[in-house]
Amino acid sequence: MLQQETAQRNTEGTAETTGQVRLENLSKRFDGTIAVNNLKLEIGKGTFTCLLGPSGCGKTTTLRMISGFVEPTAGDILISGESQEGVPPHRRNTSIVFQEYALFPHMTVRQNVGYGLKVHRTPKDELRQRVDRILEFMGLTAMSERLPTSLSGGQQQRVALARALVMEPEVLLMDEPLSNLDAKLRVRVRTELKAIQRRLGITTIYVTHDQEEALAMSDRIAVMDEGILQQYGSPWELYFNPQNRFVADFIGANSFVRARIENVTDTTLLLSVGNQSIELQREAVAATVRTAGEEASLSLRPESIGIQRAEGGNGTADSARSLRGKVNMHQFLGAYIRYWVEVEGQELIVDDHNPRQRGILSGDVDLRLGQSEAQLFPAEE
Amino acid sequence: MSTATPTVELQRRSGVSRLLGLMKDPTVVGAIIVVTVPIIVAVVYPVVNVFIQPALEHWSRFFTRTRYLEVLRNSLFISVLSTISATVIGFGFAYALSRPKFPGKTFFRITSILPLISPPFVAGLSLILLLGRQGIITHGILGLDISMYGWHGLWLAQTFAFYPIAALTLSGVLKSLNPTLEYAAQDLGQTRWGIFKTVTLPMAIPGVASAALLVLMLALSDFGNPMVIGGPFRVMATEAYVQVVGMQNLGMGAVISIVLLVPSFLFFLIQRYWVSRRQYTSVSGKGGRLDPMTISPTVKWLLFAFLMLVSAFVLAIFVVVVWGAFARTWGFDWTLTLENFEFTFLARMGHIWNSIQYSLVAGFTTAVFAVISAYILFRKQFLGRKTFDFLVVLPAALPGTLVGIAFIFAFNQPPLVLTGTAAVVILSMIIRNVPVGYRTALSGLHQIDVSIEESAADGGANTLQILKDITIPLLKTAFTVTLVYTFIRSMNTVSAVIFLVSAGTNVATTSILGLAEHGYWGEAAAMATILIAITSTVVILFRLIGGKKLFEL
Ligand SMILES: Nc1ncnc2c1ncn2[C@@H]1O[C@H](COP(=O)(O)OP(=O)(O)O)[C@@H](O)[C@H]1O
Ligand SMILES: [Mg+2]
Repeated sequence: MLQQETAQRNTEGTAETTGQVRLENLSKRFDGTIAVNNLKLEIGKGTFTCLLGPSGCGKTTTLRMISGFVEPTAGDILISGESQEGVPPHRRNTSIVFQEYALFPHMTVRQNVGYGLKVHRTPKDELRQRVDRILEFMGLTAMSERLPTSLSGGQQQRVALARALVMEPEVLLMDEPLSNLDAKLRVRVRTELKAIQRRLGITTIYVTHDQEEALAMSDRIAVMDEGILQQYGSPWELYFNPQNRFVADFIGANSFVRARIENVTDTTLLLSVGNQSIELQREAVAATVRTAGEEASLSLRPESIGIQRAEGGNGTADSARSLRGKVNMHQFLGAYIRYWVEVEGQELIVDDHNPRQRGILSGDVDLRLGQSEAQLFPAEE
Repeated sequence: MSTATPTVELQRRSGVSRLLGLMKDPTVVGAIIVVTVPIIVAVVYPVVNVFIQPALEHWSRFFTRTRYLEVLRNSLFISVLSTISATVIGFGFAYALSRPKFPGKTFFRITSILPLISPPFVAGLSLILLLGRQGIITHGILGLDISMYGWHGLWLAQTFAFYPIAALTLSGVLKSLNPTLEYAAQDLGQTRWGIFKTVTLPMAIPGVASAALLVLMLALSDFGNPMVIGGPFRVMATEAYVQVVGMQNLGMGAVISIVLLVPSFLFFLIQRYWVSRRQYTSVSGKGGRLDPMTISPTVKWLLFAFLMLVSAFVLAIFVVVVWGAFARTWGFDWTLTLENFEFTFLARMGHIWNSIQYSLVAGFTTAVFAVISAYILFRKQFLGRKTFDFLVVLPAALPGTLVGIAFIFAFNQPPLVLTGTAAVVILSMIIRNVPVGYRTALSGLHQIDVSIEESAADGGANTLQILKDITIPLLKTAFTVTLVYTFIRSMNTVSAVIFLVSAGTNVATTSILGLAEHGYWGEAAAMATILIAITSTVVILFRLIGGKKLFEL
């Protein structure tokens, strides 16, 4: 409960009510495929917003429509309340950082960063000052006379960002900017990126297919699948309160258990899983289905399930709050142990974050559910 | 599994152990010898011969006599002129073809490929028929008694003969540029013209330089056009021929061919050590690449009009040659007749037949040779690998004129007397195409995943088996492309074979030039038509049976 409150405060702190960027029923069709389907999104001023989804779900196309490189088939984009219909990329107050950086290989770092200002006929002195300032800000001063090809991936990334930021755009767009970096660097650069965004308070739309990246960086995340917006909310909401099975599955590890709703009271839900039954607190379960007799799919986070050695009884757990299962496999990961537990022919992933207390379990175990949020979705067809 | 199976050398090791590792694999040692020895015999040995041939006196005469200085000046003048115009036109074609939604792409592709598969002097021949003393335009329509003989006509002919080469090279260059860079510039506020000026063009410059140098090299050693249309305007390639064949002055021929070698060797070195390093190939990002930007409507239609004009001229060149083949007496009697073809079948069929046979043998041998050498270089680590690579591509640095003269020196005396044989003609065809074939095969090999072979080696297969089961099937494309490409180039080649053919081994191209030299325009046109028909048929058939594109335009 306490956690939930802090989370709420967290999202309210940064998000504003006025939308800096509004996507109104935005659609894009490429002969045959619908890349983006009727997308509605309101992006607050100063927020860091992620477009998240599997490859091919239409993230890049959305970003390119916002930047003006791709013309929408239908719908409109509003930036600071103004329609962008027919406005070419260079007239929009957006700057884009491309996935492959797109640095000009025949220009030095300084020339790359100053390119946009030069195009806009910025006076020489001002140009030099602004470029110097941003190079300094990004820690690139030492390499300002070098060619991009002689820089490391992380440095190239920063040059690309500097080139976009020096234009002081209202909206910064980034398309998987970290995907060409190795894993370790990616974590470091994403922290840097987020810090820079915070300091400048610039509205940022960021495309990624990496859920961890999205959770770590975003104020708000828009999850997309097959061109359709699945859920739009804070990382917290998406993780603990996914609106549908796709979001639940895409973000974080998750187990889905086929269950049947046996009984619904004011405070509890009674489910049967195979031959076992379990009672959950109603408030702990976000449910889109809750009619007795319905087949449902119970979605559970690995860390929300308690695990302990099976006690007493044979075949079923003694408590109405527990399910009896058998450990199929485990991995000791230091901070926690991950178990694959079979319950009534279905496998659940369970993380034990307190390994020293219980040691490594094997054989029959009891799983305690409903300690924190779970979701009930309609059963898979 | 057998334990004694030799494993393939795939790791990088120190020189000595690499050499030792190699020795364990006799097939490889054998293959290296099979590749290196012919190159030393057919390239290094003849070229060395050319260099030791001329006396000091030949050199001093070349650089003091006005006759030679004028030829040198003419050559440089016309080659630079043709290079500029051909490169500009070639860039226009390549640029248009690299852009989406440019109208008439297929048509422009055809008009750029047509000259590539015809003998280069077709342009000159056709210009004579159009603008010569008996030309349709000059004589027929305008009733003038002037001629295009001289540098004007030569310039026009070389421009049309060589712009497709520039287009072909530049097309590869422009396609390799990452379109995202242009979008990045646009996002930063740049105009289309600004993008072209500050991003596209600067990045294409190394490629443009490379294309221009290639054209320069071809224009310098062009023999057919100067001979057909040059008239009194003599250039180095024709002068070398006059010296060697006409005056038996082999020393002066050697001097001229060495002078011709200078620019093409420079080209070779620049290409090898500068351009390839400066080529701005982009990091290919994952995900949907943006299409190259479209051109603004005004520029698009201006460029379209320009390319149409050039294409119309190219088509006119070919139409006129075919027409000339069927006209009774060009300039006087336009009635259609088959007489010219009858003559060809009676008197010159042997030469066409020679061309076909030699080109087939050359094509096949070149393909085998190129594929083997590429395979060795790509898969094996051995001492002297760089030298090996250098030797195989070296013939690309040699102008045809030099190859022709070098072969005369080398194979006119023991230990190898080949003068007057078909072998020496075929050998020159092979040598001149090995570098292209080798590069084609190398790029084919780059597409093969090394791991395929590694896993086969783990499975206990020896080198020969791997070659047979995995690499050769994968190299088949490179093989057939080289075969067909060499065949077409050999059918059309002039500048080297002109020195090497004898009465019995004359080929179609030199035979046509002989006819043109004596004013037998109709007969020359008929033979040229047959030649073009053969090469076009081969290209079309090759495409129809599913062969890879010969010309990536
Ligand atoms: N230029 C294009 N032409 C045709 N189809 C395209 C084009 N760009 C994207 N698509 C299609 O649209 C869909 C969404 O692509 P994209 O926006 O790149 O996805 P994401 O960035 O989420 O991976 C894909 O099915 C893709 O194949
Ligand atoms: Mg994408």
